[in-house]
Amino acid sequence: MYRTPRNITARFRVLAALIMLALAVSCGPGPKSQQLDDLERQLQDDSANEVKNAPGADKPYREARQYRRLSLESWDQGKDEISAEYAILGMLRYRTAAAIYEQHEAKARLDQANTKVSNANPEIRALNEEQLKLAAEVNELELQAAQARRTKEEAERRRKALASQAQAATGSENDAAKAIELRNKLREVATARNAADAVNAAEHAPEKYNPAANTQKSVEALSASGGVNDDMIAEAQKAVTLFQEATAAAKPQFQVAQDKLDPALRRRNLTAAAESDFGTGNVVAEASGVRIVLPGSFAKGASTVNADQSNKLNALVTLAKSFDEFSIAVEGYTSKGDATENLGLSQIRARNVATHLTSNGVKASRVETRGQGQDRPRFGSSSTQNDRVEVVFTR
Amino acid sequence: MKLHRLISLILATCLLVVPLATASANEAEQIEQYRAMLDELDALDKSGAASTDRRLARQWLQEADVLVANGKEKGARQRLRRVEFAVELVTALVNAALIRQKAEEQEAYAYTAPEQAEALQLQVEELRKRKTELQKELQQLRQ
Repeated sequence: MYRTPRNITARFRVLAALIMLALAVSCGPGPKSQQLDDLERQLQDDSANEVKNAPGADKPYREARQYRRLSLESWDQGKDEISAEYAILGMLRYRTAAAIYEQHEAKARLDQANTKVSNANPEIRALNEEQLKLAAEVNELELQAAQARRTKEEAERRRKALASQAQAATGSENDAAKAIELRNKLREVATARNAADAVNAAEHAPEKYNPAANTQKSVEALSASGGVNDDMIAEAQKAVTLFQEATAAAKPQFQVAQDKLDPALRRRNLTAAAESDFGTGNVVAEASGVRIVLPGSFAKGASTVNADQSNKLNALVTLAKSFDEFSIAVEGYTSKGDATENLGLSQIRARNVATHLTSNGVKASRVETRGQGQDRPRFGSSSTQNDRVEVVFTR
Repeated sequence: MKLHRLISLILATCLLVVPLATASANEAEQIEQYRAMLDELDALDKSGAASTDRRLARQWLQEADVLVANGKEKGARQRLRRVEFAVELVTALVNAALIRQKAEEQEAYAYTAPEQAEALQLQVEELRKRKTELQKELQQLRQ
């Protein structure tokens, strides 16, 4: 094998190239800027292919590549600052291209969604139209129904008002009649009360008069406040009845009271009553009173009234009560015997009769006793009729 | 190789120098314009999809403002170029977010369409029933 000059030249060239390469590597520029690294990485990414094919993105994409080239050249020349600047600009352009690509992606997504919406829309549109139509119809019907309801309610109100007026008219007539009846009844009450007052029933028959007066007062108060009803009329009638009963009850006592105003008349009445109870011979009219003699009321020497005289004692009590304005003096007497003993006995006899009176309701303040002994015989000196009491009513 | 480098340089001039020349005419005015645009984008970006980039753009805009004030027009033009691209990026991001949001709404609507139809159907039935009741009531009231 011979080595031709041509072969030698070729070998020399290869060697020279290797030497130059070694020199280039050993004397080349410094490390690339971060911006340039980022840009290169971005442009070499798979997504860059999609970006560059997007409509409208090709221009910024192309510019991005050009800035990368400029950045590399500047780096190659050792102009690191300019290289970084170009890399920044390149990155901005690449990202703009990517954003335009994103716009297309979003637009495609939007178109797809719009297609779905337009497919669903006819049904929704039809339902919407039907809903609107029905809503309008229902609204119209609601208005008509409300109007009809109002009309019906108004008619019902009018009917009730008329019925109420008719009822009120009837009621007024009834009330007026009752008011007249009550007024008349109250007049009757007033008349009955006047009659009761005329016999002083408030004093002589308070158990009837007072309830009647209270009833009259309450009915008049209710009537003054405008009330009229059957109960009030019934109460008024009750008052009339009570006043009449009070009048009837009070009348005898009132008459007595009236009589008491005439002493002579009272004495006459007392005399008549005493004569009726004790016999004419045993009643003696005196100047200022009436004397009643109860002859033989005691057994000789006894101080208690004979049992057969009890009726007379009771009659005496009645008389004392009926003529209560008279003072009563009970005088005891005896038949003949020991004068001293008989004086004491006569006093005891008088006290016993007085006690009978007071114990049967005659006021003690009206009653006094005297023992007259044996000195004033009324029936002869030896008669036992002298064992007696005499009761003197004085006014 | 040289030719390639030349083409690259021409491109760089077109892309960087020409806009910068325009910016240099009135950087301050441009700054105001970009600020107004960013304000509008702020209002549009309710989802916050571009919030980071909007913040970055405002930062660059602020830097440009400072550089202009310091008479460093070259640096200002550089920042304004970034802002220009950032505004374009933010616009694209906001648009994408808006379309995405609308798509989601439509998807949700499409998803709930059967339920809506069912609810509407129920309402329609209720209304029919009520209509019948009212017709009967009216008939009775008018008798």
